Formats: sequence, structure tokens, C-alpha cells
Amino acid sequence: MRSCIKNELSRAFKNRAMYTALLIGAVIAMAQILLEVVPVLEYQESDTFTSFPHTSYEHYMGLKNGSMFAIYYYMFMVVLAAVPCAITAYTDYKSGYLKQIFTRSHKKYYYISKYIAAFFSAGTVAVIPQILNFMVVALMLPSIQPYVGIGYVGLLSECMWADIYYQNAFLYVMMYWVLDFVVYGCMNMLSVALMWFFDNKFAVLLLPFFFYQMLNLGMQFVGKAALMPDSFLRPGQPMLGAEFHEILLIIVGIVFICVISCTYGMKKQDYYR
Amino acid sequence: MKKIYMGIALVLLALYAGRFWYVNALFPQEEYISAGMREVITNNGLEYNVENLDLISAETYAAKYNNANTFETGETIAVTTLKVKNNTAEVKRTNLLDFVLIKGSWSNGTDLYALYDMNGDTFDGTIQPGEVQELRIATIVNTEVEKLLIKNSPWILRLSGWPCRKEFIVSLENTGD
Repeated sequence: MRSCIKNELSRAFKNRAMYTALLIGAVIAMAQILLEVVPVLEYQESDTFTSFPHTSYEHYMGLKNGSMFAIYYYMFMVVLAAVPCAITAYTDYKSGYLKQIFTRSHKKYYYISKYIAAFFSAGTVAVIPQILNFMVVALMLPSIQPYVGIGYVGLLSECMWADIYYQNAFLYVMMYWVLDFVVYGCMNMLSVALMWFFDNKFAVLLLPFFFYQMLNLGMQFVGKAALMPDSFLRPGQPMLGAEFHEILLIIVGIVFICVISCTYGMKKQDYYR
Repeated sequence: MKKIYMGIALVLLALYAGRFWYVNALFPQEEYISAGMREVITNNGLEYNVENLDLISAETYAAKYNNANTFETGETIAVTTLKVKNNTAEVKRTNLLDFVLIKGSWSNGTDLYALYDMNGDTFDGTIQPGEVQELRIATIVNTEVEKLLIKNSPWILRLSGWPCRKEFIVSLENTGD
């Protein structure tokens, strides 16, 4: 089991697709700094002290709600995060590599390893550029702990974890990295879970994105805009009212789909196609 | 080879920490000043103290201050009464519009039109030397009041946010009409 996981993680992390995805994420993160943070520096008043300074918490990509980079980063990251690992299960299955593996290892081990690799690779691709963005912004702007009621900076009280943000903003940012890691990771697992139903590599690759957009549409339809991934995955939380237990329910739902689909696939699909 | 990489990593880390410290050292925060009810905080040469804080409905506000157009029916308004004293020899102007009422992670600023309802149509914030004025400010409680009231955090009236944070810790005297 351990060697199977090690092998799948190595396949997911040590490949050109992973480096390319990370590079693209980093380029977006750096572009946001060049176009949205650098221009602010000339308005930063360090000597007159008339207004609250621009801070890293205000201009970090995730917390900048008006930024087009934030909008597109969180939306398309689900595709980028799928690149390193999402279709490997499908290609293993199509190429016959799966049969070779099953002669040497238990099926269950392979699928568990695949889910783990899909989860960690997507989480890594989604979060590393965010960390990089925050670290570089923190070299340009002070990381002053934001407090309530300083104009248009910060979170509204209806936002999830707003109290944590105003007590320790860095802790809030880190908690959001973990949340993003888990949610993007889980969404990527769907590519492995639902590959049985598709006969096209590209369709499998875009499965997490399709799910993401369906969730956007569904949540908007039921009047729960705060639970659209477009909103709750962004630390800035542009739509108010998301609750952590509701997000947890979405994660549990995804894991449930993965378990059911995997059981179905292992029993019905592997042998017959 | 491993040692060289470790060395490079340590140098980069030191450079990062140095730059991070430098950027933050440019913006030192001044002393934090806080006071309770009826204690004095001096801001821009004027001495302030908070007399009381009440939550009232828009209907009560309309009846009390004779203006039904300032707030919409159903809104809850926080009315803070302050005493402002000019202890200097020159005419000063109070900046009530900069004040922010806070509870937990909720905050809202002062309503402009209510200033005239409560302090007179000719109110312009001017305080003559030696004069003491009793002024009222209104803040719309634009969130669920019940949720706000059960929060453990105190009500805070912030006079100034940066670089010197000056705040009154206020106790609520009346939560209804």
C-alpha cells in the first residue's frame, strides 16, 4: 500500500505537467503583484501617517475582492490543478497499464493511491502560488494586523471566520490555504472517481471544472450565493453568509461521490471495458 | 552539495526576514489609547467623553428627533451621546464623521444626516474655546442585532484609527425602545 502511494505521488509530482501548472500559477500570482500592488506603492505614505497604510492583507490576491486576477485565478485554478494528475487514472485505464498493476497489487490500493495523489497534487498547485503571492506582497507592504472599521479594508462581520481575521489575520490566511487545498484537492478527486462515465481524455480533465461551475449554478439557483465556489474559495469572500459546516457538507458530498463511484467502478467497470 | 543548498536557503531566508522587518518598521503604530464611559480622551485638541449609548428603532428615532426620512422603517439605530470640550484657546472643529462604532467584527460609521437631526440644523462641528457641547451621533446597526447582542465583545467607539488608535469602551444602556 505504502509503495503504491509513493509511486502515485511520485508520478503526480515529478512530471512536467506539475511544473508547468505551478509555473502558470506563479506567473498569475506575480502578474497580480506587478499590475495591482506595484502601482499602489507610490501612494503609500510612510512619513505623513494620515491614513491607514496599504497592507499585505489588503493587497494579497485572495483578499482583494475587486481584482480580476483573484476572480480568474480561483475559477481556472480548478483546471490547472487537474493537469498533473486528473487524467492519469483514465490513461492508465485506457492504455492497459491498469491491468499490469492489478496483477501485482490490490485494486483497492491503486485507487486509494490515485485519490491521494489527485488530492495532494491539486491542493499543491492551487495553494503554492497563493503562498508565493502573499510572501512577495509582504516584502512590499507592511503586514499590519487589520482591525475592524478601517474603511474598505478587511472582511465584513457576516464573513466566515471574520473574528479570527480580526484577531490574527495571518492565521485566517493560513486557514484559508488549508481550506482551498482541501476543496481543490477533493474536486480533483472527481476526475478519478467519475472517469468510468467518459470516453474522452479532455472531458475527464475538465470534470472538476464542470463540477465547479455546476456548483456555482446550483448554489445561485437555490439562493445560496455564498456557497458558490467562486465566493467561498476566495479568502475575501465576496458573497456574504457562508458557514463552515455548509462547506464541510460540500466536501463530504464530494468524498461520498468518490467512494460510491469508485466502488461501482471497481465492481463493474474495470473488468468489462 | 547539500551544504551549499542549505547555505543558499539560509541566506535567502535571512534576506527575506530583513526586508520583511524593514518594511514593517516603516509603519510603527503609536500608543493605543482606550477609555471607559465618562472618561476623557483628547483627539485633535478636543476632549471627549461618552455619556451613553442606546439602541433605538427607526420609528422611535423619527418620533424623538422629528424626522422620519433619515432612516428606514425596521432599522436599528445606535445613538451615542458625547460631551465635547474645547480646552484650547482656538476654535476647533470636531470630526464626528470619522467615528466608528464597533462590536466584535461588526462596524459602521456615523450617519451624516442624523447629525443635523440630533444636533440642530446649524450644526457644523465648531466648538468655541472653553465651550462644552453635548453632541449625539447615530450609527445604523446594519446587521442582525440579536446576533450582535449575544457576542461577548464590548461596544467600542473609535475616534481615530491610525497611527494612534483611540477608543472608548462603551456599555450599552438601552437595548430597545
